[in-house]
Amino acid sequence: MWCRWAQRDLTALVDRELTPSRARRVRRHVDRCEACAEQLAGLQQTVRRQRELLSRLNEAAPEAPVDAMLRRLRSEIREPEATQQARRWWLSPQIVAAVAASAVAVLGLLRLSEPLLVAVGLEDPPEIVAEKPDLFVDYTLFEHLDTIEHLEVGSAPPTDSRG
Amino acid sequence: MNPEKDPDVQLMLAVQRGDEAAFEALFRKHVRPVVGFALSFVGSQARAEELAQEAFVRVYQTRSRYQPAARFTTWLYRIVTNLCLSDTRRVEHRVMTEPHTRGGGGEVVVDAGDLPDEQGQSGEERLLAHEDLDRVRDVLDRLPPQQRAALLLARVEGLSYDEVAKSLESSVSAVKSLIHRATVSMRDELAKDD
Repeated sequence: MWCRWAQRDLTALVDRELTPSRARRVRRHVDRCEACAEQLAGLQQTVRRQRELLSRLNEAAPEAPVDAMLRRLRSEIREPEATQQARRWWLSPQIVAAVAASAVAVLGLLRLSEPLLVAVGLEDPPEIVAEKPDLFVDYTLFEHLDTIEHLEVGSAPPTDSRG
Repeated sequence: MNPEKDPDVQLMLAVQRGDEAAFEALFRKHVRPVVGFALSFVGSQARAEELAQEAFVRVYQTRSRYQPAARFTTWLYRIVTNLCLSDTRRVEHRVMTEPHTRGGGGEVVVDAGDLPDEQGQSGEERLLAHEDLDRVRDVLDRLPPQQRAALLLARVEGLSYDEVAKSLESSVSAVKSLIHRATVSMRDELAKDD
């Protein structure tokens, strides 16, 4: 059981990637176990050779055309940025300000034109007129408003057929 | 190494500030090893260069999100490894279809007849002596992609197990296991020539 546990750590021990306490425990076991000591020696050789082989493999790879790749990289980076900027033209400050100003103007016009729209029947009158028509039924009063305003105390009020 | 002492971290922070020369410096320094790493996964120089280029495009595009929590290479190889592992999952790139070639198109094989006869050596020793890199490449390609990535990051790119774990978005204990299994598998495969 100790061997199985220790052998899992042998590669990391060779790579010097064990914590100091764990490395000490593994080495203590290896010092007492011939099989694991042999395994460790073999792995040390293996890791050294693999580093050499992989390094040679890396060096043998064809040279990458760095300048050509850099040119392609630059065009690839700049093209998406230019495309994104072109797509976002409508987010430019000038466009946003113009749209906002237009919206304010349109809303203002709609507000001012409300009585006109009501008069020609394109808009319903305000709700209060519909809810309390009695307030607006005595047009006779309004017809004689001028008279009422100038009525002197003691004089008879104008007669109304509705009483 | 303290990330702040990594010169590549300083270059990347300059890239964040809009320094294009810093980005070019990082590219020139790391593109060849990145292509070499990618070549171990895609089996084609052209495709390896494409992946390397894509990696640097992503480095540039995500520059605002870069945080110097580790060495620059840890972050770079996280991007590269993700691209390579994604590529190997595609069926059309899983099988190597081209020999690894020099510019002229020939195979990278040393003629064993030019070398002295070395009897009594193990398969691995003969490989070292005869530099049969295609054989090493073949053995490497048969490793599972995660093991291959972990082995190359640790043994070729020089990342610590902790950095390999960050690059693979895995744990250190998982990386320890990956590298151990890759080491033993590669040793056993190369020894089959004995």
